[in-house]
Amino acid sequence: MLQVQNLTKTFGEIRAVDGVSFGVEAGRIFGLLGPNGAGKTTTIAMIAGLIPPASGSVHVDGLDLAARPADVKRRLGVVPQEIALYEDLTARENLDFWGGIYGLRGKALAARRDALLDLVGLADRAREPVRNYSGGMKRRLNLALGLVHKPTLILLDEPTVGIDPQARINLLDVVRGLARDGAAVLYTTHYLEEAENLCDELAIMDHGTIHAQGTVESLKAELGEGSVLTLQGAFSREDVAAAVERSTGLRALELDDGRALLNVPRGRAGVGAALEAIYTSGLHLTDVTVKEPNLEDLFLKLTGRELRD
Amino acid sequence: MRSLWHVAAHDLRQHLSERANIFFLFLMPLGFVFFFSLVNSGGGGSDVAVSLPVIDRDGDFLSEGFIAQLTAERFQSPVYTAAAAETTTFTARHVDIPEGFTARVLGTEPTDITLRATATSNTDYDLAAGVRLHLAQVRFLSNLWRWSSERGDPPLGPSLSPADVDAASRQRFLDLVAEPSRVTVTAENAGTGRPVPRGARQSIPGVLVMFVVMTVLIGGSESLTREKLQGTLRRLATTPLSARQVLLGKTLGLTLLGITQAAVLIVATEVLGRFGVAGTDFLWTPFLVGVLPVLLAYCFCVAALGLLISGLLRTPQQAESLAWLFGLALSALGGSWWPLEIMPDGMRIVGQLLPTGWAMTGLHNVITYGQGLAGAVVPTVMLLLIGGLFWLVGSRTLRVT
Ligand SMILES: Nc1ncnc2c1ncn2[C@@H]1O[C@H](COP(=O)(O)OP(=O)(O)OP(=O)(O)O)[C@@H](O)[C@H]1O
Ligand SMILES: [Mg+2]
Repeated sequence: MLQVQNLTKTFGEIRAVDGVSFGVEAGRIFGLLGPNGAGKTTTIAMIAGLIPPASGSVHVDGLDLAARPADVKRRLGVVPQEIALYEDLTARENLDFWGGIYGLRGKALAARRDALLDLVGLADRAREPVRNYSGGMKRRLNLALGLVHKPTLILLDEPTVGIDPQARINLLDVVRGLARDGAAVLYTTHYLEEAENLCDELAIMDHGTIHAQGTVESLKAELGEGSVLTLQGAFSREDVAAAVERSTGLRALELDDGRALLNVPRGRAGVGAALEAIYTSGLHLTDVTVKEPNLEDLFLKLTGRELRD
Repeated sequence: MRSLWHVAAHDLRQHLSERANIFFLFLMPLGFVFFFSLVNSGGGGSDVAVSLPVIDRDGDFLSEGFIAQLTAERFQSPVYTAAAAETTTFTARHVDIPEGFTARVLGTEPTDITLRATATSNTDYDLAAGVRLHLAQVRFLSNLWRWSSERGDPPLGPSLSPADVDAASRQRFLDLVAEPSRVTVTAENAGTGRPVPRGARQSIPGVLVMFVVMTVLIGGSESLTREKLQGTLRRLATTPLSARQVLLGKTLGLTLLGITQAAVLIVATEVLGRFGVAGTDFLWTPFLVGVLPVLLAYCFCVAALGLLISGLLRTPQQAESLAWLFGLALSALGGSWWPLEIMPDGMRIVGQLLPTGWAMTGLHNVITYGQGLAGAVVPTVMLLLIGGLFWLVGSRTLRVT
């Protein structure tokens, strides 16, 4: 459904998006996971035709965005990161307006509008001006407006920011429903749990480039079978590298002064042996954790920094 | 195209549903029509008494005659003696008749009457008064000549002293002044040699031109900057509409707003005219064919200017203040408050380059000068050109994405 090839965008010195390529199939949810400033919104803006890419191409349904922008945009449902609503209008009036732009009229529009109000749980407040809504309610309406014309490719830019846990669960259900109904969904977030639970496929993005891409399972497999051992303390990169060298089965994922991320083979014996090897190496440790690998660790391994600073 | 209209119609509905706009659209303009009708039927005309106090330091029969002459020229001239003048502060212009005026005139010595202007005097008003003052002087001199020849004094001849003139002769001079003059000169201060649009024919088109520019600039720049901030402008560009089409839709919406404002004023003043309310008997109906193209082009032109202003500024508050400033300046300079014809040359030329100036020119061509559709052509084309220029610049400064 969506094919993005080698997209690049620079703002002055900043390479906001730098050679990004990926594809999203119909009925699938593709996650773009990255911290603030990774280039997620810029990528979405280029796919939505809001800003022209410096290079690269976007194809939707086989149509080239650059050549046939109106046809491509008709298939898109864009839910912007910044809430964009007419504050003086009610939820109904907002939906009517945006539906009207896509040529929906009369009964068809009314039916679609009411269905969406139900979907995002705003039916009982639908006749109030948006001005009176809470932030979370605005977020939900913001989502509904992007869906009014039943788009086949849906671009969701951090749609769950600022809403309560129950509403978030509902919203994620809505997104799953959209994919089940056959839409391709591109979903950006900096929440790991969301990416892990929701997305069929993920790309990990930082500083404008994609560092890894695949299903959640395949990405986790990059961390190796077994557990992740995290060490913190007053040691140098060389100290910990030497210690890893001497041990059996330990594998370095990410080494730094004062912090190390190590892979430990499966099984009790593996963890025990690893801890012993570390202990005997005489490293000055302040914190040691052992856990199942998650995307956070992968992110740290790929980019050398935490997802949330 | 249909979505474009959808955007424009939505914008128009938004504008009309705002209470502040209702006041602008419907109530204020009607107040202005009354006000300007009154003002423009006054100053600049020749049939209204102009106040012109006189300080009479002479007190003899010729100064008395001169004052009577002023009154005959429809000046309202309260007379102050030299002593009274000492204790009076004159806030407007006034005439000063020097001591010994009668004696010097009779003695054929040169003598001056001073017209003293003050800072608060307004130019065009003074122009009208000036013409009439000259008339008063000419008539005074011709009466003096008639009086002198009736007395049998030789022309330019031997100087008299006030003591030589007896009471009957003095009275005769005053009678001559009081005679209705045989020649009436009507003075108007037209800069172009054409009659100046006056009364309702100035004030009603003027108010219309002013309110269209105010409503469109203020309403338009406020709503466009708000849409820029709240992200809906950007969101519009994610629909099948291109950024350019979004701006076209917005411009169309503002043009419709201007047309609505114009239509409200035309209908309201037409009704006033038919029923002769407030002394107006002005009707649009005979002129509509010529007026329509001018007004449509004008509405587009100010809509494009609204786009331009919104592109320059960030917040609705900033845009609104700038829009007020622009609207008032354009109205004043473009001749919607008073006719361009009575403005000083420099300002008249500037005024005639502005959209408001072209709109007024077009309306006057059709209404006051009866040129019909032919008189509308040049102003309409100029308004479309200026509007197109505004739009090109505006669509570059106002960033949709
Ligand atoms: N209009 C712009 N002008 C200049 N720099 C920009 C502009 N838009 C984005 N950037 C820069 O491009 C980089 C990527 O920004 P982008 O908004 O795409 O990040 P993001 O992944 O969406 O971040 P967030 O999670 O905070 O929304 C940032 O460094 C940002 O400062
Ligand atoms: Mg973003």
